[in-house]
Amino acid sequence: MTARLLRRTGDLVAVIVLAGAAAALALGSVDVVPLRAVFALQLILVLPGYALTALALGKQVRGAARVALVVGVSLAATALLGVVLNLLPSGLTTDAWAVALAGVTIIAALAALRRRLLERERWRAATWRAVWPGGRPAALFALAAVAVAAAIVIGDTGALHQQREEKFTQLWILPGTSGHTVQVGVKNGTPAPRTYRLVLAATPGSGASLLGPRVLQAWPRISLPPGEQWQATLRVPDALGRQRLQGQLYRAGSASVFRHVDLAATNR
Amino acid sequence: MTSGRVRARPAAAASDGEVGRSRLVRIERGAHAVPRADASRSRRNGGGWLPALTLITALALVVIAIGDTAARSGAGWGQPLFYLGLVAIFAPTAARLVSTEASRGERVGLVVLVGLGLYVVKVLHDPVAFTTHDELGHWRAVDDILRTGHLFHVNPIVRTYSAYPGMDVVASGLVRLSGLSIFGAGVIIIAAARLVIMLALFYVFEQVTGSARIAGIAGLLYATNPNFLFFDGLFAYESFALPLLALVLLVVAGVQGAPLARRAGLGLLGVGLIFAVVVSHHISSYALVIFLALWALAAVAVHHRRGLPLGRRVTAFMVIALGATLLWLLFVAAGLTRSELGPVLTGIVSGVGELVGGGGGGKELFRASSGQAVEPLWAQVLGFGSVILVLVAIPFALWRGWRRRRSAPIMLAFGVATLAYPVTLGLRLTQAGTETSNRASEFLFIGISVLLAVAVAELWLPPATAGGRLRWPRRRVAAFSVYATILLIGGVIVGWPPYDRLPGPYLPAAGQRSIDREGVADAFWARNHLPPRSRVLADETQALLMASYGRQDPQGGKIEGLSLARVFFSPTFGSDDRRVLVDDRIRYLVVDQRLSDVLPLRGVYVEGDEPGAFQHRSPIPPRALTKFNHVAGLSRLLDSGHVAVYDVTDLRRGSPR
Repeated sequence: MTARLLRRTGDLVAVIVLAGAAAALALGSVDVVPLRAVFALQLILVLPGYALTALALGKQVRGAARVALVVGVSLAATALLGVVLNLLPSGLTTDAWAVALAGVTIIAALAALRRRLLERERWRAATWRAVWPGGRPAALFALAAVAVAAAIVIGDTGALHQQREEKFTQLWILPGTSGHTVQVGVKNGTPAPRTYRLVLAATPGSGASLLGPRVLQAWPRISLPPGEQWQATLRVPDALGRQRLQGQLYRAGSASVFRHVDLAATNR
Repeated sequence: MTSGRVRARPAAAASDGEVGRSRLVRIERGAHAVPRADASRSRRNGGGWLPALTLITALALVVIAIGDTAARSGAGWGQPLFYLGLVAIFAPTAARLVSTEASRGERVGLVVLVGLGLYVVKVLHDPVAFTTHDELGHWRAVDDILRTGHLFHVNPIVRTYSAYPGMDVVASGLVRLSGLSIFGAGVIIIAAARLVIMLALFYVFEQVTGSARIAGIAGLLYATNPNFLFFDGLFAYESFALPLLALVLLVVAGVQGAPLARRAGLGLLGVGLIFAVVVSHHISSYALVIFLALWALAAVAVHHRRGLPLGRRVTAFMVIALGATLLWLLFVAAGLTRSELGPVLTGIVSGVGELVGGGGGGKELFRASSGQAVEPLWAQVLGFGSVILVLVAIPFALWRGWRRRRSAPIMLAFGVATLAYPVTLGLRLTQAGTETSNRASEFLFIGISVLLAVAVAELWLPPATAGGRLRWPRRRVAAFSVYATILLIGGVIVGWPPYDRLPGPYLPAAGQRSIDREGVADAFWARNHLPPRSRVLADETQALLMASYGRQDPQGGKIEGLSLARVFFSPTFGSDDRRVLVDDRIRYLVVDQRLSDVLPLRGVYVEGDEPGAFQHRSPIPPRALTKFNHVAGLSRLLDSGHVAVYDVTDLRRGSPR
C-alpha cells in the first residue's frame, strides 16, 4: 500500500523535498558554489514548472513534451515572480528568491498531490528501464559527453591563452579623498613579473610636456607579479598652487616614457 | 460534395476544425501518425542513429573548438575546420531526419541534438566571457538588478532592456541562488531556452501536420534561419522570449483537443507563458499577437461556422496577448520602445525612399560599409544560394500548405509568414533595413520551415509506402541533406559578419573582435575608481565596455546640431569640441589610439551619427586622437597603452587653456 502510494506521489514528494532543500541552502548562505548551483538550477529551471504542469495537466503530457513544458514554465514562472518581487521594498534578494520560488513550487506540488489523490489519477513514474537505451548506445552517449567536454576544454584553453597574450600595463592618477592628496597606481597586465619606475612631478606647463618639472616623488623600483597592482597615496604640498601633476612610468632599464598621466590642479 | 469532404476529415475535426491528432494530450502517444509500436521500436533499436549522430556531433564540436583556437592566433586553417564541423553536425542529421526509418523518439532527439549542438558552437566562440553588444547590455542589466535588488534601471546600452527584464530577472535569480557568475548563469539559461524552442517547435509542427517526420524536418530547417546559430544563441531577451512564444503556440494548439477538465489548466499555463513573453521581449510579444490573430482569422475563414470554437479559443489567447502587450507598453515601456524602434523604422523608410529614388540609401551586399570586400566569392555564392533555394521552394511550400488548410488552419498563418520573407529580403538592400530583415528571419522561419518541410516530405521524398514511385531514394536523401546544409551555411554567412564568425586576434572597430583584455581591464578600473553612472564619451567598443563592466553611462547622438562623436574626428581640439563636451555635461572621455589603425569594419567608429558614418575611406588621423594630450582643461587619468581616460570636468569650470 505504502509502496503503491509512493509510486503515485513519489515525484511530487521529491519536488517538495528538493525545493525545500534548495531554499534552505540559499537561506543558510551555504558557500559551496557547486552544491548551491545544483539546487538553484533545479529550483529555477525544473521544479516550479514540474509542479505547475503537474497541477495543470496531471498525467496528460509526458516524455519530451513534458520536458519542454517543465523547463519553459519554470523560466516563465521565475520571470514573472521576479517582476512581482520587485514590488516588495526589499526587492530581489536571495532570501526573497528562495522563499518565493520554493513557496510557489511547494504550494503547486501540494495542490497537484491532492488532485492526484482525489482524482485517483493513474500515475506511473518513468522507470530507469524505460529510459535506458541499452549498453552500446549508452557507451556512444558517454563517448559523446567526453568529446563535448574535450571541446569545451579546448575552447576554454584557447580563449584563456589568447587573453594571456593580450598584454597591458595601466598607470593612473586620481584625486585623493581629501583635496590635498592624489592617488597613483600601476597594474601589471602582462603574463610575466615586471619592474617599473614611477616619477611624479609638478609642472606649471600644460599637456604632456615636462618643461621645468619639479619632482615630488619617485618610486625607483615597483615590482609587480602578473595581474597585480600597486597603489600609493601622496600628500600634495599646498605650495604647488595651480600646477599640474604628471606621472611618468618607465620600464626597468629603459629611459623612455612607457605610460604617462596628468592631473589638472582644479581636479585635486 | 459536402459529404465527401466530411468523410475526408478525421472525426475529431468536426467540432474544432483541427484534426484530432493535434491534441497536446496525445502527443506522447503520437496519435495515428506515429504508431504506438514506434516507441518500442525506438527502444529496441537503442534510439536508432541518435547515439551515433550524437557522437558525430560531439566530435564535430571538437573540430570546431580546434578551428576556433587556431583562428584566435590568426591561423587561416581555422575557418575550414569551422565549416567542416558545421557540415558534420548538420548533414548526417538532415539525412536521418528526412528518412522514413527513424522512430519518433529518435526524431525528437535529433532535433534537440541539432539545436543544442549549434548552441555549443556559439558557446565555443566565447567560452569565458560575453563579447557581443547585446550580451554586454544584458550583463549591465543583470548587474544593476543584483546591485539594487530592483528592476527598470536605465540601461545606457539598449534602453529597452530595462523595460523588458524577463530574462535578466531569471539570470539575477540564478546568480543570487547559485553563486554562479552572470556569464555562467546566462549560458545555462539560454541553453535551457534552446532546449525549449527545439522541443516546442517539434511538437507544434507535429500537431499541425500530424507527422513526426515532417516535424523533424521542419525543426531542422528552422535551424537554418540566418540568426539561429549566433544571434539566437546570445544571452539576449529574444533568445529567451522566442522559445516561450513557441511554447505558447504549443499550448494554444493543445487546448483544442484537451479534455474539458484540463483545458482550464492548459489555458492558465498559456496565459502565464504569454505574460512571460510580454515582460521579456517587445518584438516577440508583437509577433505573438500577430500570429495568433492570423491563426484565429484563418480558423474562421476556413471553417466558417464550424471553425468558431477554434477561432474563439485562439482569439481569446490573442486578446489576452494583445491586452497584456498594450498594457505593458503603455505603463512600462512606451517611451523606451518608441526611442528604440522609432529610429529603426525611420531609417528603413528613408533608406527605401532613397533607394527607390536613386539616392544613397542603398547598400552593397557582402561588402563592409567602408567599402572593403569582406566575403570571398564562395561565401557570396553560398549566401545568395541559400536565399534562392528558399525562394525557389516557397511556391511548392505554399501549395502544399494550402492543401492542408482545412485540417490545420494555422497553415494559413504560416503561409503569411512565408510570403513576408521575400519582402523582408528587400530591406537588406538598405543600410538601415539589414538588421530588421535579419531579425525577422527567426520569426518568419517558424512558418517557412514547416511549409518547406511539408513540401519536402510530400513532393521530394514521399514515404516509400506512398506507392513505390520514388526513384533514387538515397540520392534524394543526399540531395536534401546538401540542400539543408547549404541553407545552414548560407544562413550563417548572411546572418553574421565574417570577422565575428570565428574568434580571432584583436581588430579595431569590429564588434566582438574589438573586445580585448586591455579594454575590459580599463572598464573595471573605471568601475573601481570613477563615480558610477558618470557621463562618458567613447568609441563604440569602449562605450560598450564602460557601460557594462565599467558601470558608466556613455552618451551619444547630437547636441545643438553637433554630433558628440565629432570630438574624435576633428584634427585639433576646437571650440565646437569644447562646446559639445561642456554642453552635454560629459565627465570622462575614453580614447583608443587603435582607431587610427584601420577602417571600421562595421562602418562606424563611434555611432551612426558620426561624421562620415558608413562612408569612411581613410582611418581617423592619429593626431585627431592624440590631440587631447595637449588640452589644458583635460586630465589624463588613465593610460593603459592604447587607451586613455581623460577627465573633462575642468572644461566645464572654464579652466584657462
